[in-house]
Amino acid sequence: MRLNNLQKLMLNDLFKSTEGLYIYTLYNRYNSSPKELFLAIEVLTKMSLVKSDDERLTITTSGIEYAIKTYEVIKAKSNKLDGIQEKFSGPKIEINQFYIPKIIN
Amino acid sequence: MNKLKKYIKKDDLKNVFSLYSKQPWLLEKEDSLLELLMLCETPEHKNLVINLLGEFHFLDNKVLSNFLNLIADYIISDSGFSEDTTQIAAITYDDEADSSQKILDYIKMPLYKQGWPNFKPVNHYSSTIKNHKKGRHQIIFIDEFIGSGQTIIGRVKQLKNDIKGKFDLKFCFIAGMEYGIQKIEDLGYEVYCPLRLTRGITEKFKEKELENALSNMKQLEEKLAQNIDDFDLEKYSFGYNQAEALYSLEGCNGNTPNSVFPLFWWPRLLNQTSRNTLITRFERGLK
Repeated sequence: MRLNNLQKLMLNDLFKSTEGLYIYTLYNRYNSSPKELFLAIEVLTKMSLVKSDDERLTITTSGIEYAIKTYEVIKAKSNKLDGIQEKFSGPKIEINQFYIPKIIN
Repeated sequence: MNKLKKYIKKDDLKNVFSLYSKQPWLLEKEDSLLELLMLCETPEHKNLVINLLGEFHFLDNKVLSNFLNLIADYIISDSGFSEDTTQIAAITYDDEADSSQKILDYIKMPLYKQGWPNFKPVNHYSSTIKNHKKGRHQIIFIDEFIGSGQTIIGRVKQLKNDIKGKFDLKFCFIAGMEYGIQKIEDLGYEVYCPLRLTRGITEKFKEKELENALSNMKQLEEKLAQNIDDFDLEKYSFGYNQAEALYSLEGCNGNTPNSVFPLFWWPRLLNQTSRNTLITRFERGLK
């Protein structure tokens, strides 16, 4: 099952926190309604990615693994040029500098 | 939602979450729920509302369908009535469509499927007399909900007056207040009702807690419009005849009974502005 943005965000925030987070903290942090938050927690709990202890949410071992995988994917997607070796990079063009575009038919 | 967001405190969120776990239908009514909680001035008001909503019976299609099957099963197998001599009648007395006609229509399918393809459904009280004359002397009155039982007692008196010959009478309801059902049973009539409810406050709380709950509900009702045109809230205070019901059918399956606490359906606030209520009651002219 794919996570929606709120669920991903929550998982990442819980991944970064050592002792979990209060549900109310998450509620204040996001622009989401109680219903959206409730449903997101329900999905994450059913997937065993988080566990709730009354008012506090913590990430599980599966949640950590999931977050790491997702994080790697997000990182890889975040800048496609990051993986290009320096020797293949041309000089940076200044603003208003003339250049000849390479036209590929 | 954003407007209400800032008013939601830590305890409110906790309560709302516990309600969502217990009563998932509230997820679809979040704005109304939050508005209702915002109407509460004190934590005691909120606790009472949360408590009552936790006990609420909001019947979805699946539960309604199960109850209709149970009623059909009772009619065919346990009522002792036979298909050829039975009429199943709505208690409708005037010319307005009501929920007894709706339930009568709903029960047709389960009865047909369970083995009564030729039973006689009668959609108006007055036609029961005509059908009695044609040999349908076993009468089952059917309705969605029984509150205090006053309407039913009135119909029984009327029927005794209108039918000269012998007849057998039984009742079927989807849901009802136990004390109302008891009144009918005390008259010697059999009642089949799969969902029997007790009064939401007076039969739940005791002593000091009861005193507080009654006072909190009164204070909450004081926040509602005391009159809407010709309708006085006082008449519906704690539900009509103080029935204190916590019940409604989902969507268009029914009309919220007036026996339900008006806090959940009364359409206007004290300053006459409209409310976004959790449940809806249709009553002509009440808006």
